[in-house]
Amino acid sequence: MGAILTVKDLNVTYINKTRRVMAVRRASFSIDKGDSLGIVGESGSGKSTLAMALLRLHPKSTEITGEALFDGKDLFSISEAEMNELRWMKLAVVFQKAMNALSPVHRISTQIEDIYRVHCPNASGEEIQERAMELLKLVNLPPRVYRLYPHEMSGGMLQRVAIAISLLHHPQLLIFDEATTALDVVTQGQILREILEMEKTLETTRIMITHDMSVVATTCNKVAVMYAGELMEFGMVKDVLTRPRHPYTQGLQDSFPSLKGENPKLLSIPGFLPDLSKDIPGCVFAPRCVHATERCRREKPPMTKTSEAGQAACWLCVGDENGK
Amino acid sequence: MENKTEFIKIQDIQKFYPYKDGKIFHKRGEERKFVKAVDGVSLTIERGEILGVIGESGCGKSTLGRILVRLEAPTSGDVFLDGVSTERILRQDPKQFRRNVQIIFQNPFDTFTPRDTIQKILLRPLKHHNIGRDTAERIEMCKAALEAGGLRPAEDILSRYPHELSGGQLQRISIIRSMFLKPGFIIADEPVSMLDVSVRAEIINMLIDLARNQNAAVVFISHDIALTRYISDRIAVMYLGRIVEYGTADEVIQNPQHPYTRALISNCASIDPFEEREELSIGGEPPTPVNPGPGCYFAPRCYMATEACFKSYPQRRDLSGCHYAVCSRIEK
Amino acid sequence: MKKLWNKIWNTLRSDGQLCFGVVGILVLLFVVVAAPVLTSHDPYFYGPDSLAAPGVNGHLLGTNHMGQDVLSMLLYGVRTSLMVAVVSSLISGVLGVLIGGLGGYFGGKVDLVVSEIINIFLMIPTFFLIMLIISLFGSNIKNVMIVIGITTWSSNAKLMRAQALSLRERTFVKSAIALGETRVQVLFKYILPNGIFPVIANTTRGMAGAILTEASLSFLGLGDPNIISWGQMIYQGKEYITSSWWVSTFSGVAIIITVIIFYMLGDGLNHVINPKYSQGGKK
Repeated sequence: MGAILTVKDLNVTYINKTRRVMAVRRASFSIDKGDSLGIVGESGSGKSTLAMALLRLHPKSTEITGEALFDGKDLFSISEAEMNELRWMKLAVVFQKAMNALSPVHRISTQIEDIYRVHCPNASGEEIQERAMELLKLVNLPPRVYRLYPHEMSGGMLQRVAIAISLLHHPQLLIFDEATTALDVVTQGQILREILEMEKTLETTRIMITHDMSVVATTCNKVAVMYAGELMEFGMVKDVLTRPRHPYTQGLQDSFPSLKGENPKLLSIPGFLPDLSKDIPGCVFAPRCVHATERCRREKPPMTKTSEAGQAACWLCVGDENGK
Repeated sequence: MENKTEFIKIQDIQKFYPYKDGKIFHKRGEERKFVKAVDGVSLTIERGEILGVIGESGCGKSTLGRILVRLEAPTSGDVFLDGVSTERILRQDPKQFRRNVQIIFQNPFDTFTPRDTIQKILLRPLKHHNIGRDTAERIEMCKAALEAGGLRPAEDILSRYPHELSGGQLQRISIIRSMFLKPGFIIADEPVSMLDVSVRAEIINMLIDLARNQNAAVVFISHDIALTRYISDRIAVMYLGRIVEYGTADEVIQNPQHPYTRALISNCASIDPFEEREELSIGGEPPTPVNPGPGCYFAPRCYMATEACFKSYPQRRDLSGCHYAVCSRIEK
Repeated sequence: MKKLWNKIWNTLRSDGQLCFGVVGILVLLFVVVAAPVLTSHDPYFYGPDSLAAPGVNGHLLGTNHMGQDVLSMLLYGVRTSLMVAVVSSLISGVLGVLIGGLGGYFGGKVDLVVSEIINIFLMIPTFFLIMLIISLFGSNIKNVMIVIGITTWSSNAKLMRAQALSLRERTFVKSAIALGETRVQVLFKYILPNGIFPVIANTTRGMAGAILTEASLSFLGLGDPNIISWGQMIYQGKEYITSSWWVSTFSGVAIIITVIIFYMLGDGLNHVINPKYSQGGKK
């Protein structure tokens, strides 16, 4: 049960003619094989930037420093050719709007064949079809989908096709970037259940990027909470979501209304995101934090261990290592 | 139940769009197809009440919202404001209707024209409806309203363009702008679904304040069931253009009777990782409302449909209080 | 104010074509204003040296058969060309924006009628129509400008109509209606100001086209003989093209350069305008 992905001090900076925006700052975490990590954050948190960075999908002008050890290699130091080999074979992504990821003028079969042959140029049509049918069954789609065009299918079906495509080459790490956000509640619920079901037979490790904590609560075992490009809290879902240690995580929780039982007053987090193009002294969240002290505003809090597998970047947790 | 506070009466609203199947001529006798976006919705809303309308895409809730604010005219049916038909109000004094009925849109980033400053944007409706004596007074009104809404410094905000502000700020300005007209009826069409989770409460609280303190009737349209439960007094569940269940928020959410409502609610996850849920699965995808029927619209996907369900549209079953569900399989 | 100037400066720097176009226009405007100062001779003066070669007797670019100094005529010709460009484009632009905007915004039967009118005008071979009208109504420069304007509005109308069709679905338009603004107010305050950008870029191309049209009309002898225009110069010089090539050639070059400037300006504007022109806001 070793670590499959270890990210150390990742910084992603978008550079355009006029400004540098530090979208991800000093992110460090580690996932074990078989884990399902949920990365939660709002707009500007850097969660999607992180996912794209891992697959090196950013344009060349983006500055990336730090290390991401995957399968023994540092994803940021290998050559583009080596990275190309890893993409889809070992690492795959499912994006938010599958309908945008698929070409509207080609059948699903053509697209799957194209994608398959990028890595296995000599595969025969039958081989590919067999694999595709296997996967369509896995995602609960009827075989006839193989011959359809994207516009003949609904949003939910397309998302399932996108998931099937991501599994073509048995990747070890699967990243879902807000993959169910654009779907209806019922379809979303179904697809999430299907993903969990799928994982019983496959040996994939999953990263779920979302703004919706309930998705993380139901499908992930670990969670990373991001804010303004930095990691605020990390740990097991069962711990972090029942007893959040970071004020931001707590604030997020208070923003979610509950369906059953009590109806506590819905709270919001006052203030807004800091300017990501500037260096921010102290804790990124301090301007909006109700517990912020002078120290919080001056010095950046270190990632402090809060429990066996948990950490939080907060001064309040320092000196509290035994998780009280 | 005689309702002397019955402020809004929505009566049998229907909205059909012709179904474009590419045919120019239709065979005689062949039934013309329509997309029945809203197919006979009747509701009453009291002053100060918040009515939540939930349902998946294609259920007609957004179309209903647009019809209530008359961005579109219904194919048939009418809405009565304090006993007066909106058709009549529109004929006699359309400006009056606009003052009384306002809408908050889903996309705060597109609600304002990108070419004008916030000040210009806010002054326009004031001038148009003759609110305030002169420009100076109107600017003061804007400043006061922004400050009261938590948008400070007001002068700075007034000089900005929409693209310089955040979604939460824009949505608050949208509500403030509508409030200038002192409407009695407000439709909020998914007002927070494009906003970050941590800023939603501000908007929600503003809407609640509108209902409680300004005594406005609010229709809250959303696909977020937990949020609708939080804000609403009563909830109507829509499916394919019709209401399938209605009642107080607690009744509909804690004790849903219609199989669709039950499935919807069971699929809503909470953020409690230890929660045990029994999710009801409904097959297929939300369909488009093209000539549905003749039986219950939900029958094709329903987990307890019988043959009778497909034959005729079910009768409304009244349960306790104002709670009712439109399903023939409910035991009384 | 400084912010605006910085913004303009940065935009100019970002696109080479735009820069070229703007600089070119500024040069042309300078010539318009400074022509009397820049020229040594009065272009209307029929001098003694007929068909003098370039460099002879102080005529840097030679003279034509009437003894008029070619260089002076070129510089004064800028005024004619720019005037034709601006006036006809203005007429074409205003007509196009109003008609296209009405059709696109109001939709239904209005749009049906408007679309058909636009299509008719698109189909008519404009140049022949212009020639016909000029032959009937006389070839003074005023007529030329008006005629070019009323025959070229259809491309602007098509653009504006497309803009109006998409803009009327935008939330801020629906918002304005919900707040009680009338349809006419919405058209003039929201649709036209927001939709006019592609028309502006198209108009600069229209300006180049207008200059060429005027030159072509003059070349065919249908231009205004009382005004100095490059087209007239080519027309006058074509009889002597083999012996006294300078009359037609330099004026031809002037037309080419000016048309290129306008095209660059139009393209540059398009580059700059289009990335900003996207639906809605952030995710």
